[in-house]
This record gives sequence, C-alpha cells and structure tokens, in this order.
Amino acid sequence: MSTQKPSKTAGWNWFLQRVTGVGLVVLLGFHFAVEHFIVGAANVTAGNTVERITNGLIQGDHVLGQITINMPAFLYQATAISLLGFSVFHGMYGVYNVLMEQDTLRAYEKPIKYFFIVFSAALFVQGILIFLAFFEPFWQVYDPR
Amino acid sequence: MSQDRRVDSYDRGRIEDVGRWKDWAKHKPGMWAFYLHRFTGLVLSFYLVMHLTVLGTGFWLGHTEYTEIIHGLESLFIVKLLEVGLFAAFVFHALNGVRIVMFDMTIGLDVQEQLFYLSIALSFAVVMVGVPFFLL
Repeated sequence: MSTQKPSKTAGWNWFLQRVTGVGLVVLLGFHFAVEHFIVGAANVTAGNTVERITNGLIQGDHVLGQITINMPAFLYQATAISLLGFSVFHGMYGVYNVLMEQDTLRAYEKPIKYFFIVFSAALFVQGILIFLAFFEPFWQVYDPR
Repeated sequence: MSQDRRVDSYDRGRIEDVGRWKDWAKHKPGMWAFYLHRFTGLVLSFYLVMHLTVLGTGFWLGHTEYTEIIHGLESLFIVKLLEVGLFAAFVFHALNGVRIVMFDMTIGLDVQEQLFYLSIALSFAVVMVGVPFFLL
C-alpha cells in the first residue's frame, strides 16, 4: 500500500476528471447528434461547418430527413469550445493516469507530466485555430483562393 | 491490524499489473468493466489526437481541401465501420463513466455487477439505433 500523501492538485484533477466526464456525456452526445445524426458525416463541408460555427445554424438532410435547428451562435460556439477543452483535459489526464500506474514509468513522472501539459496545450491551441479558421477574417488569411 | 477496518487496508494487489491478464478466466465482471473502460478511453483519446490532426491539416490547406479530405475519408466503407466502433466506444465509456460517478456518490455499489451488464445492454441498443446513421 502506498504511503504517499496525495497532492492537492491530484485531488482537484480527480474532481475535474469527473466534472469533464459528465460534461462530455452531454457535449460529445451533442457533437455526434449534430455531425452524424442530423447532418451526416459524408455531407459535412467547410461551407455548412461555417454556418454552424458562425451562425449556429444546424441543417441536415440525412436518415431522419430535413432538419433545421437555429441555435444562438454564442451557444453553439460555447459548446464547441467546451467540447474541445473538456475532451483534451479528460483524454490527456486519463492517458497520463494510465501511464502513471505503471511502476516502470513512475520514475519519469515529472518529464511525462510536463510532456502532457505541453501536448495538451498544443492540442487545445490546434483546436482553437481550427475553430477560428471558419470565421471570415481568418479563412481569407489561410485560404488564398 | 485486525481493528483496522478501513477499506484501503485491503490489499487489492496490483490491478495495473499486465501479468494479471493471465488470470483472465478468474476475473469478475467489475474487472472486465475496468478493462473495457480503460480500453475505450485509450481508443477515444487516440482518436481525439487523430481528429484534431486531420482537421488541422485541412485547416492549414484551406476550405476546399478541408471538404475534400472529409469526403475522401467518408467514401471509404472501412472509415464508416470504424466510426460505428468509435460511437460504440463513446457510448460504453459514457454509460460506464456514469456508473463510476454513481459509485463515487456511494450509489449502487451493491449492484455494481448488474449496472455493468446494464451499461453493456444499453450500449448495444444505442449503437444498433446509430448504425444506419453511420453506414447510410
């Protein structure tokens, strides 16, 4: 049995893992519902993604037929950013915990921890850049045509 | 130590020990729930990295290429099948995750095995409903 006292951060991270987990049931459920059940993955284009992200307009003609949902844009954007943040934290902290259960890797706890912090931050920034790419000022910068 | 009745005084062994796989026939449902939760979690985390990488590539290339990448992938049947697998991983991980959060609140501990079977049955039902949305 370990005699090591759990750190305060570990307690908070454990709590956040639960909070983000419950949040992801809703957020990822919503993501699957929109992209796969209403729009259909094969019908996703940059054009209709722009409509969803900038106007909150979810339109699809998939298995359920024609569906149009007009969400407040800020609400759709908030779900997208929350989904990104929650999934990066929950996923990366989960993998980190799996690795830290291996005795052989525990010796490298610090470098592994810092790697995951930097990698998670990079993933989050990558997601934010993808999100921003659908707003007009940015797509003109990145898509010269 | 006989007066020590704290739960953590019980030596559970090293659940993370890979060698324990050799005893798979002796595993109780709770252990299978643990393995399945872990496996689906790793699959979903790996997919998250891949997903952001693919979308990111599309982003750096431009809108036209973004659409082409998605349509190119979705034209492959194997991708659609893998998406069903991804959905299954999410549904099980979510339902079993709710089961774990319930245990944290000391709800349902004495029926934990039945709740595992329930999460498997519900996952199967939800995935079956979802199949047409992914394959059509």
